Amino acid sequence: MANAGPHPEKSFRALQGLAIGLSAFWAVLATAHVCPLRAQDWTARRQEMVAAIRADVIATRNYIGKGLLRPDVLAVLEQIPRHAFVPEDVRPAAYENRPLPIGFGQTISQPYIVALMTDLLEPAATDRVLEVGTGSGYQAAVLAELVARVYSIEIIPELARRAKERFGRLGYTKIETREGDGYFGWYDAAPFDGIVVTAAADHVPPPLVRQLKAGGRMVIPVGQRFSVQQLLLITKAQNGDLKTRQILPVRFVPLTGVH
Amino acid sequence: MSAAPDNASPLPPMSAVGMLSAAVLAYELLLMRLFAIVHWHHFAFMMISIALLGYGASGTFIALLPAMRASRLRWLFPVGAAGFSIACVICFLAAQHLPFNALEVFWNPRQWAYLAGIYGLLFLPFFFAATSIGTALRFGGPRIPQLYAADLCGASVGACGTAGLLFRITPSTALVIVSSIGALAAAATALRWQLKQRALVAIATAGWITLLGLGTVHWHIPAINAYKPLAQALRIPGTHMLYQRHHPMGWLSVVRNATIPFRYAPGLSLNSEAAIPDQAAIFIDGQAMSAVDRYRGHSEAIVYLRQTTLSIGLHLRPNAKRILVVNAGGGQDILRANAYGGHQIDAVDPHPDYASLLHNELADFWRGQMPSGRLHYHTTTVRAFLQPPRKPYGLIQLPPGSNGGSGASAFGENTLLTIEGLAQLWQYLEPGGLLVVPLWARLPPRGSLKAFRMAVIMLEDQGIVHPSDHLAMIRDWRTAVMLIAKSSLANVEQNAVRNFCRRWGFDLVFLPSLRPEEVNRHNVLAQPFFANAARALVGEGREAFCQRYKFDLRPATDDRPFFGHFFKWRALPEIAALRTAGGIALLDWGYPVLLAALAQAVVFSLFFIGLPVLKNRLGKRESRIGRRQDLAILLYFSVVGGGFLLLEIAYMQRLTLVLHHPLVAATLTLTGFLMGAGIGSICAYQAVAKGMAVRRLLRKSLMAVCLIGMLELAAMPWLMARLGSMPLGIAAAAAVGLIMPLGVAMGMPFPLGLALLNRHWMEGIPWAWGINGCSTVISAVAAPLIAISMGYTGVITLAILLYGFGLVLAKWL
Repeated sequence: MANAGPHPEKSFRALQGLAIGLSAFWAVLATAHVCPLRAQDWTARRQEMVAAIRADVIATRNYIGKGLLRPDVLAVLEQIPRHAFVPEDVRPAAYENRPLPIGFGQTISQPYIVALMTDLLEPAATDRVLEVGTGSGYQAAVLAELVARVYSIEIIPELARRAKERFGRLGYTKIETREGDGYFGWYDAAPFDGIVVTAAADHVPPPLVRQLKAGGRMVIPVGQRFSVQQLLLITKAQNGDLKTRQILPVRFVPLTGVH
Repeated sequence: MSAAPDNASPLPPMSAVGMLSAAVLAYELLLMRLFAIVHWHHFAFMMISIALLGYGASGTFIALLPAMRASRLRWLFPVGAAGFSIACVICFLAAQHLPFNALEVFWNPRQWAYLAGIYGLLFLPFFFAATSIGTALRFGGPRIPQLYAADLCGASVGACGTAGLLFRITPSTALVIVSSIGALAAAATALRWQLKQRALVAIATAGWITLLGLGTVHWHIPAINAYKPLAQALRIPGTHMLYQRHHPMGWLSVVRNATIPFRYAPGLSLNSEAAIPDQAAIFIDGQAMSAVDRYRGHSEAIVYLRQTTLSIGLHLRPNAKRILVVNAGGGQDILRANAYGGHQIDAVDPHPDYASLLHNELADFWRGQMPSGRLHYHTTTVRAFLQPPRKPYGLIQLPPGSNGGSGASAFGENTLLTIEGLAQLWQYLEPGGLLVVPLWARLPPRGSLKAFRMAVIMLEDQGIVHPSDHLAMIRDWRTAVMLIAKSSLANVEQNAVRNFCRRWGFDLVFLPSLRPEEVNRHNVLAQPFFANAARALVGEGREAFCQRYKFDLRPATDDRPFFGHFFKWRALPEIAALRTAGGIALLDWGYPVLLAALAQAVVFSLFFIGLPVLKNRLGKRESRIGRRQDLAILLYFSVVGGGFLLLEIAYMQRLTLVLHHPLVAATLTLTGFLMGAGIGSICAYQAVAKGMAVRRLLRKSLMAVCLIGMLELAAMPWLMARLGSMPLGIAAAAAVGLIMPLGVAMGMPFPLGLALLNRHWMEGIPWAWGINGCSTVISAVAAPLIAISMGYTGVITLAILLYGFGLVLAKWL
């Protein structure tokens, strides 16, 4: 039996190879975990991000009802330093067209979705907008460049505190923040021309509907944190009637052969 | 043949082999439980499947070991067992520290590195344990069948014991016990030999077990993924855990927030002005939330329940005398029925903790307000509940989201939403009765359409000439609720549905008399996807429609109970191309994750199986036949290992329909098959010891598997129909009667194959052990994929064919 076996030296080398391979694997894993990517030219990357949004919008024009988003919305996205709204470890990916984790089980939405939601709100310079779920503060910052006043509520104290600090540091004076439950909206500041709810619950909070002005618009993304399934647009007519539009933010026809 | 050990024998005691096998199987089951809590069950399945390839790798490792005296190799068993004992705890804890987030895998390549890290960590304990057992088999000689029997019987005890343990203790504590058993297996082997270091071994073992015991004090709840609903709820200030209990069916946790209530009200109208009362939330494995309302007997507190899409059935049948609430959970549907004045409410839920909670810890929420005799809460599945003849119901309400939400449950079996399941519920409706099926309304629609199609087919099966006269469906932006009526829906009832939708701002999807202008009015879609599809599904061209539809709408049946499977290959390129433009949400993850697991398992298996061949480490045979024999050995141990797992998995699913309880079915099947196979292996050992020709016995055993399998497959529909309605004890006894003969026959081909190898090519044994390990992993992953396409009948047929092929290959061993 011993004769049939391999040479011990060769076996040793094989095991040595295996050990080196495993070490290399763990080294790659560790590197991927701890080494941040090199910072890039933020302005150029913002322009690339907006170009990616434009391309996605053109691709989904049949579904969102328009081939172009409002130029002022895209211009704002091109100005706002998104990298200042994300944690250090994901900063190199700040301008990729994808959602990013911001800690506390929350995300900063994909720029394409932020752009769509902002556009759907049809913001005007005199508007007062309520945001339920401040998160990183990026959506509020985008809105603040387009409307008169933004009221933003965040339920997670650490996120609320950080967003408030960030707004102060970046000079967003038109944003008012509050820490707490957003279900009942912001009664003192109501009614609002627009309301953004950053994560859908199982139903639309009726108090928010009441705080929406006649002619106002409410936008809610529906789906999981990293994959928005649809955008819910609720409009209140002048007579108070409510209508919901369910917008699939993707160019996907469920039937083949029908376009 | 004598079991008496000597100081030079590499063989461990049979008890140690049994203990280690019990521990490793228990570890596998515990990991499934723990990772389903930490992550999502489909990724848990993938991680553990790949980790189980440690079995395949162990064969390669033993084959690559330098030649040395058998007496030195005796250390491999205790070292492997000790390695398992340490790694099963340490690696699990380390894996928890890798920040893998399944939701981010399509966005962030780093997540794949974390996933690979988890594979690597979970792989180690299986590798250690399998190396121990593989070494024992390698040097088992004539005692191979006996060793294999110890392995199987141990695994059988592990399967049974784990289910029992999880009723009493947390999975984390169970993991500590499993680790201790591994340590004891190592110690039992080392202490058996006349060693100077016996005291050291004993002290080290006792020290490790004590350390584990102390560790459990600080280690109770696994750290769950930050994006799971429970983790999100616990981040909100004021939320606290009221109660939690681990159970083999899932980790149930109850949380409450006195200042910021949960306000769970799926399907609530946008026009609702009603307040939602204080609620406690119940989560299973950190997700699948349901709510328990605080109700003091004032009907206005639960008015909101009447203003949801889910109330449509009760709105049409407010005076239903007998109501059945299916999967009642925390009881929102019970309260809804109560709000409409339901006279007698039967509620069923298979998870026993719900009933216990409502009676005890959460008794002050609403249970005390229910007049005695009005509500009967039964801990069972609805299909078991309806087996004995019962009086029919005026209304049967299924739970919200019967179809699951994320599409991740593609290979999660659902025996409620099958053609047969719907038929059973429909048969228990009284004339004029209604079956209410609420579903999550995803975009583009899929679950709601599949359910609608199944209802049409079910009604046709029941002899209804115009199924569309019995159907209605409404929706809001989140829910779609289907009504299946026992009798045709009268015009007045259809108008009541219209009025309900108009009042609360819901949309009509289907009514027998629906006009095109009535659809898509409140929750407006770019096109009336739901209504158009529903109309197509009752029309002549429904098959063509389903063919053209980009999601799989094939009806789920008891043989193919995968309601959550919607994936079609055709749609994948388009979805992938639209990844950044919202396409990710279109992908139903379960099926692709399963395919990815299969692809990985095949690639790793080829590596592990191929490495000893490439390295020319398989030695020389005394009676070499040539390459054809290599191939025959590879194929034989592949088909025997694969066939075993396929049969085991298919029987587990089949028996769930008979025993009605997945946990009972899984435990009984695993224990029965493994114990039966253990007995078969002992029988083989004894027969060979009495001089019976190994090859002849091997052929007979393979023929027996094929014959018994074919007989049982043919008798299965007849048996299922009869056993399903029998009391659990009799059904379980009959199930054991089905499993055992097959198990006994299935326990022989592997050890007898090894015994043949042992005669002329002992170095091939570890290779065969590795092949067996790899093929069991591949078949475990492939089984649901095959079942999704061909049903479990197809899985059983394939397994029998594999054993038949083994019969052909036997002559080359």
